[in-house]
Amino acid sequence: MSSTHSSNASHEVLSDEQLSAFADGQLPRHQAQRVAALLRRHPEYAERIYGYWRREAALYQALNRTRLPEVSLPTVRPRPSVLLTTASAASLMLVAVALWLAWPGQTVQKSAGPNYIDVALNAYLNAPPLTQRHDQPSPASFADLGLTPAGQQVLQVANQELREYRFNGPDSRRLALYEISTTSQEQQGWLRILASSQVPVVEWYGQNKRYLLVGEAPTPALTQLAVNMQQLLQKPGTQGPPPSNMQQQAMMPPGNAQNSANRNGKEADEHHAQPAPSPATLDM
Amino acid sequence: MHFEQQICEQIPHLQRYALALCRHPAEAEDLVQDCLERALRKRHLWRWGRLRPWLFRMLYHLYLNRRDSASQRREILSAEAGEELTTSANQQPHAECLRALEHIQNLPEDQRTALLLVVLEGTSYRETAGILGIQVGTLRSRLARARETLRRQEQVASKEAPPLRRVK
Repeated sequence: MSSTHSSNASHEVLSDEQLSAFADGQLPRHQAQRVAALLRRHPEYAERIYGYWRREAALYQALNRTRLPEVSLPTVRPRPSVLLTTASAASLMLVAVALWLAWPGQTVQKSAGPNYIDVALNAYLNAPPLTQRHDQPSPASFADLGLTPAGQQVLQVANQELREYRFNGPDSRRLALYEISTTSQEQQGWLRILASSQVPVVEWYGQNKRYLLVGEAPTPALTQLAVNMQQLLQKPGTQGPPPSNMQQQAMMPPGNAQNSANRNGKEADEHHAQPAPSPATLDM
Repeated sequence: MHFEQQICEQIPHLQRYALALCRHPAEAEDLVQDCLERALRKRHLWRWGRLRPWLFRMLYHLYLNRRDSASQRREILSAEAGEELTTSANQQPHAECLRALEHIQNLPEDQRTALLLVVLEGTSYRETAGILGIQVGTLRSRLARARETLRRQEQVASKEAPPLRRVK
């Protein structure tokens, strides 16, 4: 009888380890059930577990709210293999730059003067609302590219005028074309695409002007639009519509591009046929 | 997710544990910086498992190395050494938090590191044991001893505390 009693008593005892593991929810299910049953019969154990939780909650609160200065990822000296790779990449880049410079007609872009790309990006991203003015809504008509003029302004940067032409594209996408007068004939006909900025920028030169197109559009679509704009701007007296198969494709979602092309193609046939640009140009 | 991004996500956790271990913000900051630098240098050793245990194990070993070398040199590590942990004033209940901090600092090192990791990070026993390089059974007994020590400390403190006296 007494042995049965002592056996029962031993079953009623919980070790510190069991209590601690139960408090952490780290006991296997069958053991956790047994401990839970014991806690109901012995409130003193439940009190101990409650004490653990209370103390640890206070500890967590004390340590979690303690402020530490911000730590950022440190720069690490690259390993030899990385160094080799970096050196190889740098050499390749140098060779590529040298070849590019040696190519007839290429010169290095002068870095003197204000950084118009930053100026344009700032103007675009922090654009206050403009009143619509019709004196010079855009340097050419881009209506058939799906762009609606949304205002223009002249910004003065280091004694140089920077003209901003704003447009609304399909799906209410906001675009801006920046025009800067330049006497330089450098990089005529080249497109420079800056996809790493907050919004993509496409830059090109033409007709003694430097253009920067900034817009809320995927980089390929913006590039394609820049190509179309470039072609329109190159035409003398460009106030007419662009070539038929350029129309609106640049900013259209892929599904709508074909329909739009067909529809615009019919309109172009009805009005005036323009020479179509090569598909390769549009696929840029 | 990139390796660097995953590391960045762990930075607040590493800071918290480092501060709990070191007790001094400047030391904790140095420890986390060392850990991050080592992690970036040794990324080729990371085997695409879970990053957290790997980082915490690194932090813990760096902490042990620093502690051992500091005790050998008997030097004060930083100008801020001896500075108390600064806690925000709006903690409720503030006194209990401070008492908890004080009590955990009296625990033996092995118990303290184990309990802090489980309490602060909510790591499983298996993960914690892996980080600390011990068996799960050892971890269980360390945690149990730590908790009982804290409980007894609190009992003693409450007995020693002078009873409140009505002034007026």
